[in-house]
Amino acid sequence: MSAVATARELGILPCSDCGLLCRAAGSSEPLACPRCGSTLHARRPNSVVRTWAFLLAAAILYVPANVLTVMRTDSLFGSEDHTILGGVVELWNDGSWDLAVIVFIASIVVPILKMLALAVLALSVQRRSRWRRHERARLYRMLDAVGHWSMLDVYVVALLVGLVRFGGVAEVLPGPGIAAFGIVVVLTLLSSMSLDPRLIWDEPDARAD
Amino acid sequence: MPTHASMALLVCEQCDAAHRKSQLEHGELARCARCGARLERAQRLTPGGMLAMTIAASILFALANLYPIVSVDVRGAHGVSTFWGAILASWNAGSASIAVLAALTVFFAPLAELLAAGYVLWPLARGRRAKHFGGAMRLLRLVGTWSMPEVFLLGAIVALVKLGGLATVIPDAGLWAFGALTWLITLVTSFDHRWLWDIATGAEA
Repeated sequence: MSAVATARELGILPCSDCGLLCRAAGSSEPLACPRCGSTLHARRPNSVVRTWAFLLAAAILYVPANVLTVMRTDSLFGSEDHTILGGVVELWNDGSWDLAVIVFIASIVVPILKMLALAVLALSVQRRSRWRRHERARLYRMLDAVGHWSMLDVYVVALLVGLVRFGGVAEVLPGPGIAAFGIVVVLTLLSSMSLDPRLIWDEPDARAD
Repeated sequence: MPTHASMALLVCEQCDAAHRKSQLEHGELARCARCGARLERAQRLTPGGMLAMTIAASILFALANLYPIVSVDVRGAHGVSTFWGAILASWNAGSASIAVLAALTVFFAPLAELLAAGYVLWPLARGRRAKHFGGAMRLLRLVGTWSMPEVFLLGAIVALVKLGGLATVIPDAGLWAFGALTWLITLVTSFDHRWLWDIATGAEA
């Protein structure tokens, strides 16, 4: 046994919904928590497979999300198509460099890093790696904390469409790219929710460790 | 299957390490000795205090949805838009998916959070347990991931700045309400579910 005893080693099943510590009986049937009724799982079921499935779907949709138009502006001066990256450049050129940085981080850096990080975590767990567990655990917690901020662009487009409705003078229309982008954000959230961070620690330490 | 006798243990949700529970002082935070994740935080509020926050947040939620977020002037043309006005406009413009996404994450998920929190806390503040306590707690956990008013607030600021070059934009009451709501709803929903379960276990049905 390692220096730290785990619930699994102690024969305890913590309920993921209410936190009640239950005794893991030897039966193979799934047990229900006596306090809240949730099904008890030592680890999230099919964690790695689900993580990959959502992640792959997100990665595929990420291409149309960035290539397609997210928003089209029609005004007296003509009409213009905007992409995610284009929106950042416009903010920068208009002098709002601070917001440009925020949008760049939320819309481009976070989704890319999140998908890469999920791939690294899923792969390392699959290979039962002992490599840099602390850093990987911290990476997972960071994903949890920042993932939903990528929804930013969906709100920006919805608001601009709602606010700029001056028939003939100016109009903003949503493009197909923003729908793909919104779905990418949802899929990456589902992917990180599927990944069980406890798997990072399940491989026992090497004796020399 | 008997419940584990020792309630004196605390298991890390992130790495499964078991710890001996220690009494936390006001505002103290316990971290996992192995992975560094947050184990437990001493609660600052009682269920009654949390109920008060939930009611305040509900009032702000109503204001945020009823009042215009912004008014816009372009060469004499004047327009105001509420949150729902923007959602409907996106829907009508043919982007049902972003209308649904925004409505779910900025309206329905926070609404469900506030209702479920109020339902759980109202009796609990009097030492009683709501009839469907378990269901409401599960709902709280489920919708918590999808409730994003804070991101919407930032999105509104970005949209205002983008419009600034094109029109005269004035932030309206709805936007201020969203700002305050973001802060309050974070306080209401950041409690430890296990803590509330432990209180409710002692309370009569």
